[in-house]
Amino acid sequence: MKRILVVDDEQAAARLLKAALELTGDYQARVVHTPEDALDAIREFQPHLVLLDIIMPGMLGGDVAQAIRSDPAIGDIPIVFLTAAFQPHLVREHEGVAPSDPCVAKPADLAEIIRVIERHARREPPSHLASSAPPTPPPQP
Amino acid sequence: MSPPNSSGAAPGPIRPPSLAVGWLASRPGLAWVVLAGGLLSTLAASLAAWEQRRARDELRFVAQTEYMRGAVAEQLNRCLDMLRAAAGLFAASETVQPDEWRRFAEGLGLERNFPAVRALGYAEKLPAAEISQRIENLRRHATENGRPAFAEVWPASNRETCYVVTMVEPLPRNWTALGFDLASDPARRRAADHAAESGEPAMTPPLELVQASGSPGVLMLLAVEPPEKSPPGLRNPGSAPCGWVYAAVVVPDVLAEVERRTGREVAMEVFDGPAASPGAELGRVGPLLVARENDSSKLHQRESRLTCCNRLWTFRFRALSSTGLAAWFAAPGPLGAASLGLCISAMAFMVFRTLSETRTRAEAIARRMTAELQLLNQAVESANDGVFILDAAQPDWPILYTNPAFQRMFEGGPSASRSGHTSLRLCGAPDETNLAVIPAQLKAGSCGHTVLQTRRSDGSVFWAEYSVAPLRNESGQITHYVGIVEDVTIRKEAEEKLSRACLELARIQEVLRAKINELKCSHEDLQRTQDQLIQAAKLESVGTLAASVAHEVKNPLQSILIGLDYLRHRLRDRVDEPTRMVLQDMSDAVKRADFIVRELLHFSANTSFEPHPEDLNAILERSLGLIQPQLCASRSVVIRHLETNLPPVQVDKGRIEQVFINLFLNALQAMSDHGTLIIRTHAVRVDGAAGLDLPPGGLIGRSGTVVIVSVQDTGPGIAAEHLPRVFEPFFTTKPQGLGTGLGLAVAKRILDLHAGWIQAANAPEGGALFTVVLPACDIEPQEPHETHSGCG
Repeated sequence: MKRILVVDDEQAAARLLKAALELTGDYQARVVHTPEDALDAIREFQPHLVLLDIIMPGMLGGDVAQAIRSDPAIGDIPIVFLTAAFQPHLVREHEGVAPSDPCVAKPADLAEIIRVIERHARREPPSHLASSAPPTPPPQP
Repeated sequence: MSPPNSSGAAPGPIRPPSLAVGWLASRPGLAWVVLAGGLLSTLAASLAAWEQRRARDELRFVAQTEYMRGAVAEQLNRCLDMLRAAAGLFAASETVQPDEWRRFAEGLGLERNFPAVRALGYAEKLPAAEISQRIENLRRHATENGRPAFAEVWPASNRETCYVVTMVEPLPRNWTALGFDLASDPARRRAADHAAESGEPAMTPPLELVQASGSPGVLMLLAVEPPEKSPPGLRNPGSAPCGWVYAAVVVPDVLAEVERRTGREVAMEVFDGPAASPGAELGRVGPLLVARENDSSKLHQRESRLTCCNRLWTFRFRALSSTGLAAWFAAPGPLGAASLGLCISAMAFMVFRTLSETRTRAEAIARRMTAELQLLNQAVESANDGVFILDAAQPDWPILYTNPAFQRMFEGGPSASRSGHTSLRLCGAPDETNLAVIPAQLKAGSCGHTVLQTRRSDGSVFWAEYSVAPLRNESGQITHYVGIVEDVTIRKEAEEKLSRACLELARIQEVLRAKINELKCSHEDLQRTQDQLIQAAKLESVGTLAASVAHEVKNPLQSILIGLDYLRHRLRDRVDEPTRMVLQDMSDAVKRADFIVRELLHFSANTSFEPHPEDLNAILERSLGLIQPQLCASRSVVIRHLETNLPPVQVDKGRIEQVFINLFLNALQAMSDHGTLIIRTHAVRVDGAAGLDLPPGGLIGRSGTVVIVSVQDTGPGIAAEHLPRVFEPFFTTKPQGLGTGLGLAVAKRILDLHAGWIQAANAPEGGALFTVVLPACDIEPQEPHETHSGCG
């Protein structure tokens, strides 16, 4: 079972996405609504992938991504940007967003999100975090 | 101006005045001389008439005075006659009794016939011794007749003889005179004695009569004798009288009678004695004249004398109605002469004055007309245009006059014109047919006018403009023609130049008109571009708003979409078909909302514009790849006619992809299933839009290569009425839910950003045909486009 961290200031959208992902039985999801809480949640939760909103109050998603990647402990966790910007390529204009970073435009249905997750999510969490990582549920077909 | 030889040209001759009148009228002061002479003549005539009148008046005055003196003499003579009658009574009787005397007096009618005689009495010469006896007799007789009688002789005296008044009539007013002794008054006694001695009537000097108190009077006495001594009434001189009959005469009454008969035109004063002494005045007619003795006035006056009864009376006369100014005016002779003279003088003065003024005015008019004629002469002689006069009375209308300009114009040719034998036809016109137009016009009643080439005497030719007008006499008959010749060679040359210039101008106008049309087209394009820019500006403001709105809308859409997926998975086994359809409809609605938002944002996208040299064929392929799912779903095929080695185009790749994707999706939706999408590309060399069978758009004035992409489908095509509107935002013919009306508007906006353009048409073989033109990199640069900033 993959752990997915959803960072989005839209609380309803984040809660629904968490519920939908977990309903599939394939994912364990956690939600944080502020960029400041994101790094702590990553270190604690050790997600296979971070779904990161770009435009948030206080700190942009690009900044959060830079902070993640600058931390050696969590820097290799894949990040998929989830944005309400109308064109995905415009996301890359923001600082901290790499051209190769995957991007999903809102509104995206669950199938598209799962498709992106499955394409970019790590297979296993980092080894040095394995001990503290929550147990991964067995993948469901 | 030299006078024409013809004699009929003088208009309205003024008839000269006669010689005498002219001579008189030429002297302006003569009127005053005539007036002065007339007045002097009038004065002389008036004076002569006045003098004549005065002489006549004087004669009349003398006659009047003689008449008045005669009237006085007549009155006195009548008294004398009366006394002689009384003396006759005594002569015819032995004694005259008082009653007989009374009857005699009454028979005379004293008061009526002799108003100046106040008393007619008889005085007896009585010795003193007989007086008492006589008184007794008279008293007795008076008593018998019932009349008063005197008692005594008065005033008493010692004279031996008394002249006693024994009878007097009319007695009632004279009875106090009875007994009066005439001898007691020396004047009366002298007169009585004179009468007695001379046997002639005698008259006393002026006396104070008891019968007329305050008025001078006289006694006229006539001595009488007893009848046996002399014939009745007569008495021998020297014989002793027995008495005297006497009459008391009041002189003013005599004069009053004279005045009654002669009027008061002449004043008369009567004096006793040979001179007009104031103390001897007997009476007068009219005012007192003594004070005017030294009067120097011209009134007539004279003196004359009258002898009556041994007394000399002096008469002084003076005319009361003056023969001076009043009489002068009153007299018809002098006044008439003066009036007539004044009238004649005034009339003569007016006549001469009028003549003088008329002549003065005539001279002024003549001077003015002379000046005007001289001015006209100078004007005609100095005119730059030729002037000529023709004699209309003769055949061929010979020239009577030409001015110097005319002669200069023809350079001596018509020098013989003054001789009056050269007609206008001989003035050197090379084309007599044209010149013949003038006589024809004149005979038709209008003014002659023509312009034709004329030859000078030296053979040179010039353009002359002839204008000829008729001159008519008082009866309206044409006598002359006056013409003006103007050398219009310069004007004709100018007209020819002007004509050529007009032609050139017309040609330039045509060129300008073409240019104007060209500019109009450009202006329309610019206007269209301006409208588009205005529209774009509006849309940009909408886009800014839409971008922020879209971000806020997409998050709820995300929630709904995930929520629907959650529900769908949650109810996976329990959901029935209607519920599943509801969930699917809701999901589709969210996606449609997202699609509309994205289209709107694309249309009004104010994102950054980053053009780079790109291969348009590659962009087309990539766009086709992006719509591959839709191509497969519609089972449509794509036919490519792509020219190899296309020149690169300077474009923003992503935006151009959007253009082609929109065109492809429109074509697929129009064709439904099994359609054919034909895509062509080729490059064209243009030079200021020349060589391109498309609207020039942004290529005006630019040279280089453009790349043309056409996208053709096999659908029904675009209705003709929809073609002009397919690029308008929100214009769509698709069913509800299939189109937003923004796809082609977005494509056009993107191409505008690239200085390219897009055209919609229907292909001849059917289907819609969209042509996209993009400038290649080698085209001349246009003004840089505004760079749009992006937003998240």
